[in-house]
Amino acid sequence: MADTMAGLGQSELERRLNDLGQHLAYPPTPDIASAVRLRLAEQPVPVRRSFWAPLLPYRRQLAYALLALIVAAAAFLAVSPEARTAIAERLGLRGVQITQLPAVPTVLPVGSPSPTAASVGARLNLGQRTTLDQAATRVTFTIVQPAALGAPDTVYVSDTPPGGQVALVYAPRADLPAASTTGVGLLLTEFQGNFRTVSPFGKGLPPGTNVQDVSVNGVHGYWIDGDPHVFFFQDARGQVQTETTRLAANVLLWERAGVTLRIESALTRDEAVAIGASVR
Amino acid sequence: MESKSESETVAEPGVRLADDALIDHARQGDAGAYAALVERYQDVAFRTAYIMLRDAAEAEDATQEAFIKAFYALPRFRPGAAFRPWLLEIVANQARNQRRAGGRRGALALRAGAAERTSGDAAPSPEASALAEERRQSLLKAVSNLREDDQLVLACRYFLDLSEAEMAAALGCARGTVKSRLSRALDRLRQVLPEHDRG
Repeated sequence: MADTMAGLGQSELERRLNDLGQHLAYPPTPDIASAVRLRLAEQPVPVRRSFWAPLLPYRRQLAYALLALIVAAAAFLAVSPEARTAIAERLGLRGVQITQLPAVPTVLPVGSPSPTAASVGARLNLGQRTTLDQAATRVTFTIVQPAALGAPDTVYVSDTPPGGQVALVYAPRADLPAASTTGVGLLLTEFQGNFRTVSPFGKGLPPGTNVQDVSVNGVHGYWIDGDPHVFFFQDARGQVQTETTRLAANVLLWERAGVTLRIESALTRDEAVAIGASVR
Repeated sequence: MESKSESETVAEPGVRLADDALIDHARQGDAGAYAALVERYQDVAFRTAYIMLRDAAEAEDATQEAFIKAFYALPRFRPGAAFRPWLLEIVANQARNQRRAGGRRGALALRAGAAERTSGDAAPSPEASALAEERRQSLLKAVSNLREDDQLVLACRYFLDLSEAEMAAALGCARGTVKSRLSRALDRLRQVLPEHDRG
């Protein structure tokens, strides 16, 4: 590209400015190439600035790369475990070993008739129906319940992910309107696993999906609403697993004593946080 | 005088081709190809950020951040376009965002012992060197007293030697307004220079 501005017709002042520029003391250029290369190796997740902004304080932890939660697009729902692994690779998690994928809840067909509590577990693939006492013997952690809601209507237990997963199902009632997607009032799932930060999947993130930082009893958590998401977490063995949230359900996600808790409902953020805060 | 890096010879078709090839590979996730591209442009990117932020650590952060963003924005890069202006726009935006976040700004300074000869010239006398240095100092002071956008437009043109397209990208303005902004900045600079020193 020809520089149309230099050369002939330069005034004395311009010539002097050029000369000045050649005598300025710039700090030596740091080795940015190496730093960038390193960061790309550690953090190969597409970045979208506006979305990142509220999550910036956690980005350094993300650099340690053993995830993490990734919020992804509707297109990634209802896929097979093989496809999920492929997605994880596409998301840039190739450095992460994904050896086993949990039996994930499947998406409800749109417009399915309002389900009964008994059919919910089967359709959402929550595991076997059981009681709280029996479930307690099958999982490695202490099952908690939201005091604000009382005892769940039905309880399911599953052996995946490692450490087990418990699902507490609350049927629709006056203070718990049925979520159009699960058909139940509220679903609380609990499994052993740590998540460190949300790592939004910038590219595929639908405009309708939002992630907000929330505080549940002083513990950091995330409120995810809008379009459906896939998220990743590190299981009891330190391996990364994927999990899919149900279509358009609003999700509150937080961690309590090494257990990841997830509320899915039609409730608003503040209502869900209040219920989350009552967990004991 | 700093030797021109190969990155600055963007008019060479061969170099442009190499950029394209690197960009192509980088787009497919080849971090090595991208690192080569970064190496090629890190000087001008860092200096642009430094001119805007006047702080080495902040400029480093901004430059690094900008290169990371540029990597993820590569799918939106128009094949065959010049990489440098595109990159500099990202760098300048990053620097602007960072600057808004606060922080004091240092001042530009002359290199110590800056009175080196230009090639082919005989060594200047100590008196001539001292005079040249003094004139540079007073010019730098005058530039530093201009308002910020005037400083930036002058720095882009004369200190960083950016092309018109690159200036437009770095300044965040239309290419058609670069020249008029530049000439207004020069006018204002003339006004603040001591009369005997207006050149």
